[in-house]
Amino acid sequence: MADVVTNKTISPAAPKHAPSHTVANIKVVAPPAELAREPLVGNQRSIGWISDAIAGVAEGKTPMWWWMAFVPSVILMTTCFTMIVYLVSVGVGVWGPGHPVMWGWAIINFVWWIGIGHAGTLISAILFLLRQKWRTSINRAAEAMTIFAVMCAGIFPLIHIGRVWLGWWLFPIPNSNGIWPQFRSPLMWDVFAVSTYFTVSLLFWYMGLIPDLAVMRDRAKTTIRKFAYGLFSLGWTGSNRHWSNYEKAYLILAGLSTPLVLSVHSIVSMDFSVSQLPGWHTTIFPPYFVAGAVFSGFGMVLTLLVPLRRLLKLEDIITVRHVELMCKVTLATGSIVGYAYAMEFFIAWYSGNPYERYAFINRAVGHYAWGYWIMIGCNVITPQLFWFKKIRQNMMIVFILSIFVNIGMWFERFVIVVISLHRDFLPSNWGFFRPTWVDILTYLGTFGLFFTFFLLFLRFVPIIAIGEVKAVTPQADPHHPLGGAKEGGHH
Amino acid sequence: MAETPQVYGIVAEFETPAAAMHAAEKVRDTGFRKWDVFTPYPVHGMDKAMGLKNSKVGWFSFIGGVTGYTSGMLMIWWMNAVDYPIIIGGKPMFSPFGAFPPCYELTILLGAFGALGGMLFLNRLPRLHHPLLRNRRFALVTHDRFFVVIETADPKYSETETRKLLESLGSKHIELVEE
Amino acid sequence: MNDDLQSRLNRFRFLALVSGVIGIVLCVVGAFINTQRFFISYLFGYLFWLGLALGCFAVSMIHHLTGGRWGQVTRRFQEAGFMTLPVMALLFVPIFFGLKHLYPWAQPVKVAADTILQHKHAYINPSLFIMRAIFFFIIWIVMAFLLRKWSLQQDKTTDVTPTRRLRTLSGVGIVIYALTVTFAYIDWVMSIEADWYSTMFPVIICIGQILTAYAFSIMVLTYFSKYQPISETVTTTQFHHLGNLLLTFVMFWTYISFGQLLIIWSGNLPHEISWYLHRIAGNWKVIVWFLFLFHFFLPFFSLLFRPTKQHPRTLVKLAAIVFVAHMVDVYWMIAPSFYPTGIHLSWMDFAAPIGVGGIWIAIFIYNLKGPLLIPQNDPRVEYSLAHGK
Repeated sequence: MADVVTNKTISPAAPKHAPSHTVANIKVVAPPAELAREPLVGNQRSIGWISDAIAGVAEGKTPMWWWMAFVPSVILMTTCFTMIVYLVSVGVGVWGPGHPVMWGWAIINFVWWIGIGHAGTLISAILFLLRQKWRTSINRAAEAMTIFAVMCAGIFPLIHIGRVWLGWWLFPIPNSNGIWPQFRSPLMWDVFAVSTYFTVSLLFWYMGLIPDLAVMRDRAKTTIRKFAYGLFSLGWTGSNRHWSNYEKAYLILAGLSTPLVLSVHSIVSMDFSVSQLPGWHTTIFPPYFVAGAVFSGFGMVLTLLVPLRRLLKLEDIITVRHVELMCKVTLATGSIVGYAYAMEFFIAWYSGNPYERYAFINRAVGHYAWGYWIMIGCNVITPQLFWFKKIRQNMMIVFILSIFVNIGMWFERFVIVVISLHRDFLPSNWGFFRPTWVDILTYLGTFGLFFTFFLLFLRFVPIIAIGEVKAVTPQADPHHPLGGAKEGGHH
Repeated sequence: MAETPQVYGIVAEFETPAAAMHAAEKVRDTGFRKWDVFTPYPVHGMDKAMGLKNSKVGWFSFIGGVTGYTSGMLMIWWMNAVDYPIIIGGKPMFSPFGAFPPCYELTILLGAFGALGGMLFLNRLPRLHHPLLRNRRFALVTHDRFFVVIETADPKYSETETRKLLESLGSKHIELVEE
Repeated sequence: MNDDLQSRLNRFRFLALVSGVIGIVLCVVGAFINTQRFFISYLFGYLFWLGLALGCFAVSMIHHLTGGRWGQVTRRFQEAGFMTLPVMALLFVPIFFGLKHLYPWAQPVKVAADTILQHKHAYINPSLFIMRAIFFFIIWIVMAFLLRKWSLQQDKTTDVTPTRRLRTLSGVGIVIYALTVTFAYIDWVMSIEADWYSTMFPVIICIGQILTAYAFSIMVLTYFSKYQPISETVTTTQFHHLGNLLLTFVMFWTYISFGQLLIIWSGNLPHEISWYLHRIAGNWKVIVWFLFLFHFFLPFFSLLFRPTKQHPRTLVKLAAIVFVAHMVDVYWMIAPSFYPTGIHLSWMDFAAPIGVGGIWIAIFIYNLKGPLLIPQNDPRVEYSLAHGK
């Protein structure tokens, strides 16, 4: 046993800074300068550095700006809950909806929030399947955003039913009336879609977190942190036999989430489109809603990550290239949304159906035309600016435009819900909609809920998928010189 | 020393993924069975280097998905067409069109549970204790180091021979880990 | 291109040309026997092959925008495919003479009896129909020539200007493609049913075209992978990626087709549901089941498994199934409007697609000869090669 170092005698290893192997004098085949892709991780950082940088965010001292954001968020969140208590105790009459606009802000906010949630799954799942490696830097934060956005969204359908305590009737659970849920209604489909979406997003997110929580566990200094991270990392050791099953499961979850993300907003769109109301009943709704959801989701990801990469000093991981790529997705989905608006308008005319035609003319020049034109301005014109590289690379402008996207998508749902409902087939069914202060405060309050959770996420969980970012660096590739392969080595 | 703790296995540390992979290929060819490679991220090609077969997680997910779809269809048919039929919107009591969206969601839901549950089951997780996790040096596995571990339970294990093998593969740091 | 392949292609082109000419001659004979029947069959045969050309057009632009190794080995096939557009424009001309056999808005009696047709008349009438068709073909042909020209230019120079131009054109081009196909197919197909409309329909057309183009690319690539120079470059990776793309578009097709069905079925409005009623009437149901099985079920579930996609022999069979299924799909979109009680097959339903297809394939092979089969000097190829597999 003399020459064997047992685990009691070794000095505590320091999983600390300083790149563990130098990368200086290895030549890497460079792509031609013209179309060189920027590396996914800037400045040739070592894989140890990645751990330090990302985990460091959750380990360091709580910065001042965090508190400055957290306190108002909590206050807003409290406002939201207060409004809900008020609503439940007094009744839905405290909200704006009434004849003929029976669906008001609750549904607008629901669709808006759940749309925002779509970017997370899109980035995680679809980009994973497409082998778009750039996703690794942003998927964790985007998935977290999805979960919190779906939480905000989920509040509204629940509280808008009036008697909240009977919400369980939505589920196929036997009750004393002996009546089952009515599965021919799209609202029932929605219950299944949204709850599945929330659950699967949570599973996907948590599964991605397991190895990273193990990183946190192995770096933890205090017993409490060690215990908490140890508990949630489920005893992860990084065994390759485990990785093998893990990667397969991840691939399957990505494969399941992709059709899921398409289905969720499609089903949300069917809440409207399977009816017969002009402005709602149109066949392009499912893909158009999905594109709109992805559009708004990427808008929100940009709104969050552009300032964060600066505040958290993660510019080498969330690079300008990432921002540019997200702008391009925004451009593509924004164009699809623009196409859908144009098609709806054209087909409304082409149909020769006077009600269809009226519904659309009313949108553009009627009482709520301002809402329609805000929507067109924000959703059709704004993203077209992303054709220009100069704009995609200017963080300030990207940030501002991303906020326009968020606003525009809220107005899109306003246009669909309120403008379509306020002029029915019969003039006796015409009316106006006005939100109340409770509507407004509840909506603002959900921002508090969203940001409270997001800020907590920033403090306690690695906000970027550490293991995945490591895996896309050249030094992680055993066939790459930086990964230790001999030049011209095997393969 | 009153009692000698049982030795769990021998741990060899490597600095690059290429070195670890090379070591894995050699260990595989030597014919070890109870051994593993530990890495900070999934190393591309390591399954092949270790001689692992394709993961079976897919079956768990598949069974989950099929269960979700069929049970969804049966549930909707029974509830809306058998147990309490009501005519609504002039639509048939049961139609695969209307029933499809919720069944689709159930397929995905149970398929996802199957994938995660299958992964945890196959990996025998969660577990709160593992001999390797007590080793301080091994904590680097989640940072930037690669480890090859051969368990003492392996029939081919021999303290000196195995150690020599790992040294010859270029490991700079080798130690024994206790149970 | 080696001599063996060359002579095989020559023989194949000759065969295609002969069957094309025979098909067209038969169609001309048919036109005198039963004029309306001829136009129905011809519209079907023509639009299927035009769809393939336009699909190739879209796919090559998608590749210019996104990159990916699957595109390097199939790009020349797609280019040869969309370079059939000038001849396809000529083959469209007969349809101009059959408007009143095909479209209710071109029949004064029907227009007089239908207020909706009167309403639409300002937009959809014979002269505007013809002008729009000419306009769309001019746009497509100009863009096709530019895409081809710059792609061939890049073969000869290491300067990356052509590639940059291709990317810029493709960005705008994909938008133009979507818009032109939308309005073209509203004219050519949607308006066959007097009062029917669906905002999803043009999207279904676009997805169908891209799907056919992928299926076709897989089939051609598999054939060419036996010969140099493709045999030296192609690996299972490319087939795997193409298989994934085929799966993706099979899924898209199913998704939007089912979406349209579900919404129209739920709304159950007379002027909308009639489209489906015509298409499930009588033995049209057989076609519906055929499409369900071969346009979705079989390819979808087979392509989910990785070995299917990595094994060219299996993949090519599925691609062929999808290709044929889509041909049936195009038939199902057109013919039931004229025979809303059940299938009425005519020998011209075979003569027309063989005639147009024979000519299409002959031009396709002609376009393949000359330029190198693997695009050269694409900056992104070197990049992906340098970065290994």
